[in-house]
Parts: sequence; structure tokens; C-alpha cells
Amino acid sequence: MIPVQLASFFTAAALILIGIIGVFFIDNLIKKVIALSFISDGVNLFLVTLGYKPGGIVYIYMPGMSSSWFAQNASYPLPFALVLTSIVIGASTLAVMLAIIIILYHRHGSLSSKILED
Amino acid sequence: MTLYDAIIGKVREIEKKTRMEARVTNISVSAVLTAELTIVSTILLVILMVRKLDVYIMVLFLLVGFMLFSMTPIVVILHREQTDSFHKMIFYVILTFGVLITLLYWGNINV
Amino acid sequence: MKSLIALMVILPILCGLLLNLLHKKDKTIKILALTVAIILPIIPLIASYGAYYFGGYPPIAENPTIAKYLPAYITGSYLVKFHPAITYIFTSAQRIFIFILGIIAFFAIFTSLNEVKKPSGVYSFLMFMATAAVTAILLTDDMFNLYVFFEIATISQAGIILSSNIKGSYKMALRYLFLGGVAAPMLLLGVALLLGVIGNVNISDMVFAMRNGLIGQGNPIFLTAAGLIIFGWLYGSGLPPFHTIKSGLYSKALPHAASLIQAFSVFTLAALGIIILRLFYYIPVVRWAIIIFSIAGMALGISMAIMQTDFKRLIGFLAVGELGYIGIGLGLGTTMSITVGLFQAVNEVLVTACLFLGFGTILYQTGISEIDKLGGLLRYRPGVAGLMILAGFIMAGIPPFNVFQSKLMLIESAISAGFPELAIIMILLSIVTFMTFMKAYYSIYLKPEPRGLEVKAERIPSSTIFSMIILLVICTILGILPQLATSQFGSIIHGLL
Repeated sequence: MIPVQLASFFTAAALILIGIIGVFFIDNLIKKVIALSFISDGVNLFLVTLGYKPGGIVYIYMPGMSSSWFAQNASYPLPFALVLTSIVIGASTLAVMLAIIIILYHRHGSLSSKILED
Repeated sequence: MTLYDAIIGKVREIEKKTRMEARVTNISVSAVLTAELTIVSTILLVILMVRKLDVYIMVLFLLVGFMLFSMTPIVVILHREQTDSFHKMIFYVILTFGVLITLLYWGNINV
Repeated sequence: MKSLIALMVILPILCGLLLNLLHKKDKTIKILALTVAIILPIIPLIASYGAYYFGGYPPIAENPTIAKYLPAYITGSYLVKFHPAITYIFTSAQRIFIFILGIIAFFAIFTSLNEVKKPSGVYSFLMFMATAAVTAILLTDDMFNLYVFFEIATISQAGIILSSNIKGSYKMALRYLFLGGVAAPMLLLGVALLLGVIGNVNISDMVFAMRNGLIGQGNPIFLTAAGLIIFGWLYGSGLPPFHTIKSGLYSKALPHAASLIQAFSVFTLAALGIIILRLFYYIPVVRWAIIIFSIAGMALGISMAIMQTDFKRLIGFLAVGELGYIGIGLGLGTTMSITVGLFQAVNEVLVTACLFLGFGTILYQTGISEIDKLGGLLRYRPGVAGLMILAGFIMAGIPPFNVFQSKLMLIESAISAGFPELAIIMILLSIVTFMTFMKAYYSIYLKPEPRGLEVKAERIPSSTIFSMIILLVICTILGILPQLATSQFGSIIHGLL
């Protein structure tokens, strides 16, 4: 039985690889954008997995907990904070890309990546 | 067929594709010649320099250099490959990414 | 005055957001944009050196009040030196970089407001956001904060290109975002790997961990992180394989925007390059990788530039090619070479901005960018032609200007570091740069005017001429007194080596 964290790392690597292959081989522009979001999702999953702790608790310090017990049992909070920001950045980049694709579609009538060939 | 004639021929070909009249000026030919000499000199000097890193890397660069010199004129191929085509850009990006990660991983064991 | 460090980033962001809201209120936009653009280069001159901690507090070692309440197994460990905040570090090197960036941003915004009757609040917002993002990249000591502002700079630059209304700008912006969608997550993955190995994203803490043996020297994860961060650096700076998209970006931007965007690329190269050296200096392969990519950038950029027939692409490729000199300075890794590499960055930004503005006047007068269709423009605007030839000479490295000083010192440092081949490459490429510029200059100004060329008789905006003159004056001052710039980089280099 593979440990959860290792399986998660493999999934992140697979997502990144699928994304890179998708960006290169897929012709449709929207599908390319989806492949790019796969890459950023893979990296975000990798970050989240770094904070994994087997049997760890949510890192909210409730009244009644001793600080040393909390420090030993809470999962690492930093990666989750980073991922929140990273997801927002990914969403905004996605929005800008899709907006440009809409305009290019109105101009050229096609979603094929051949419109990006000069 | 000398190098000069080969370059004139290739420049004419490119100019035909890009404009109506295939007018080859002195300026464009001397520009292409300069670029060719620059690339060839730079490759030779880099091969010489890389001997300080590792002999095997130098042999690799030497093989790449021979391959490039056999495809004279190099600069016309470079001009064709470095267009605004997204497909070409992403190909070289992914290729460079692979080479970079491999080189750095190799650099751990050997340097 | 430590809060002024934060103000350098917050002020342009706030101003940008306000300008966005005030879009269509022309007079207010002009006044607000110009005021903040004037203030931007002044803040780094009056801010005091030091560290600024965003949303956290100084390290426990400097904070005895918190240390009192902590158990001994924390206060006795290396954790007391770690930074529990997003840290911005402001030293003399950041001062000169942010000052020059502020000057270029001022000229770009001043020119953009003067050229149009109805200024766009949204366009000014994008320029201010990108300036804030690059300022943050220069100041930050936190890897993830660097990634966030890296992405903000990418999106803002794409937005600036979209606003230019030049044919093909939408496609170019989309290509740039697609390539960024591959490169930037790789940078984040590198940051994530470093976080996994060290447990913190603060760069000073990472350097501390490395130097005190907390991580193994040949750790493969560390090396993979180095590769990924270098890949992100290549994208941000415009070195190969991203040189084509960067030069395309410059060609599809309005001239003042192109001068600003090239400043962003150069400062991103310098900032990220310094960070890579801080983290990975003791791995020889990393410095070799920097040198090889820099040489590739120089050779490909300059040889592609000389073959172009569109002067916007020509200057774009030249700008990309000149980046290699900075990379070589950083990659050689000696005190002198890093100092001169950073000096070259400052010089590069000034002279390339001047060239972009100058070539922009040709576009303004004729609306044509193909050099085969131009000619004889010397008789229309001899003053501007004079400024242009001066800028071209400066870029090629003619004394007594700044680029001559930095290129000469780079060549000397390459020879003293034991790399005469690098020195020969740099000299060769300087000659080809000069040839490229002369080709463009001859074709535009000196060649007989072709029949049917329409030259508009309108006056070139005085803001453009003013900007070019000031930039050339700064280049001359730095050429005569290079120590004004080179003395600023000592603090960064002492921390490095």
C-alpha cells in the first residue's frame, strides 16, 4: 500500500506531465488552456502535499490545547497559505487567456491553434 | 557552389516567400553573412570554453557543432525556426526544459 | 523611514487601482498619474536601508520580548534566526535599480499621457501595476512573494501589449501567457521543492540553512529546484528559448511601453539572477548554465537582429541580445564580474529605453516599420537623428559612455576569471551590435528617400525628445563617473561571496 503522501506526489507529477503534453499536442485553444490549468493544479497539489502530516489535525489553535501538543500534531500551515494565493493567480491568468481567445474567435472564426502560427 | 552562392540562393528563397519582388540587396546579404560568421565563431569559442567544465560536455558540444556545420548556412535555418509560430516556441521551450533538468541532475554526480 | 520601503510597492498599486476606477475622467487621471510617476523615483532616494517585515515580526533572535515566552528547544536552535514574515530588503543596489526603474516608468507614463488627447486610466493602471510588481521582485526576500509578483508582472505586461492596438498584439499576448503558463508553474514547483527541503520560503533562511550544513551539498531535490528556478528566470528575463516571444512582445508594444517592458525584463534578470547566485553559488553547474544561456541569448539575439527587416523586431532582438552581457557577469561569479554585470543592467535599461523611444518617433512620422520602405529621414528631423546615432553608439560601446565602461570591465573580468574565450565572444558581438544598428540607421536616415514615402509634418511630442535627452545625459554621467553606480553593489556582493 503506497503511503498517501507519495501517491499524492505521483498524482501531482502526472498532472504536470499531462498538462505539458496537452499544451504541446492539442490543437484547440480552449483545451490548451485546460492543459495549462492542469500544470498549475499539479503544482498546487504538490504544495498541499508538502504540508501533509499523517494523523495531523487542522492547524487552528483552539482553547484548551497545549502549545507543544499543537506544535507536534498540527499539519504544516504554510503550504496551504501559498496554495490559496497560487489558485487566485491561476484563476486570473486563466481569465485573461480566455478573454483573449474569445476575441480571437470573433476575429478568425476558429479555435484552432493555427491562428497562432504566423 | 560556394558558401556565398548558397547564401544568396537561400536569401532569395526567403525573400520570395516574404515579398512580391525577389530583390536581394547588398545589405541583406552582408547581414546574413555576418550573422553566419558570428554564429560559427560563437559555437567554436563555446566548444573551446566548455573544456573547463568537463571533457564529455565538450565532446557533446563538438558533435552538436559538427551537426550544425554540416547544415550550412546555419543562420537561415535559425531564422526559419525562430519565427512567431507558437508550435515552434513551445517545442524549444519543452526541449530546453528537458535539457536543463538533465544537465543539472548530471551536474550533481559529475562536477 | 523604513515604511517608505513598503511604500515603493504599495503606492503604484494604489495609484493604479485609483486610475482604473477613474477611467474616463481625463484631467484627474493625468494629474494623479503624473504626480505618482514623479514621486516613484524619489522614494528610493529618501528611504533608509534595512529590512521591512510585512504581516509578521522580525526574527526571534532580534525580538527578545517574544523569545522570553518560548521554550528552550526553540530559543536554543537555529529557528531563532528564521524570518516569520514576508521580508523586503532595501540596500544600495535596490536603491539604484528602483530609482532607474522609476525614471523609466516616469518617462513611459509621461510620454503615454502626452501622446493622446484622452488618456486611458486602465492603460496607466497596467503600467503602474507592472512597475509595482518589478519593484517588489527587486525588494523581496521571500521566494513565494517573488512568484506572486512575477505572475502579476506577466499579466500586466500582457495587458499592456493588448492595449497597443497594433496588428497581431492579441496573438502575441496569448502566446506570452501560454508560455508563461508553462514556465511560471515550474518556478513555483522549484519554490515548492525548496520549501520541502528547508521548511521556509525566505531566501535568507535558505542561504543560512545551506551555509550551516542543514541540507546536504549534493541533494538532488535541491539541484532540481535550481533547474526549475533557472527555467523561470529564463522566462522572466527573455533569454533563450524565450527570446523570440520577448522580442515579439517588444515589437507589438507602443514605443514607450516597449521601453518600460524591456526595463522589466532586465531588472527581473538581475533580481532573479542574484537570488539564484545566493542560493546556488556553490554549485558550479548552475553558474555554467547561466553562462551558456547568456551566450546563447547574445548570439541568437544579435544574429537574428541583423537579419530583420522590421526595425521594431530589430531593436527587440537587440534588446534581448544585450541581456546576455548581464548574465555573463553574473555567471562568472567573481566580485568584479557581478558588480559589472549589475552595472551593465543599469546601462542596458537606459540606452535601450532611449532607442525604443527614438525608433518610436519614426513610427510616429511615417507609420511604417519596414526599413526597406524607409529612407532619407535625416532631412526631416536631424536633431532626433543625432540623438539616435548617439544612442546607437552608446549601445555598441563607444567611449566615454556608460556601456563602454561596463563592457570593458566585463571583458577584463572575463579574462581575469580565466575565460578569454568569453571576452572574445563579447567583443565580437559588440561589433555585430554596432553593425546591426548602423544597418538600421543607414536604411532609415541616410539612404535616399524612396518614392511615395509620406512623412507627416506633425511635431514629434516634446515628451519623447525630453525623455531621450535625459536618458542620454544619465548615460554620459555614468560613463564619466561609473563609480556612482558600481559603488552601490558592494553590499549585495559581500552577502553573496
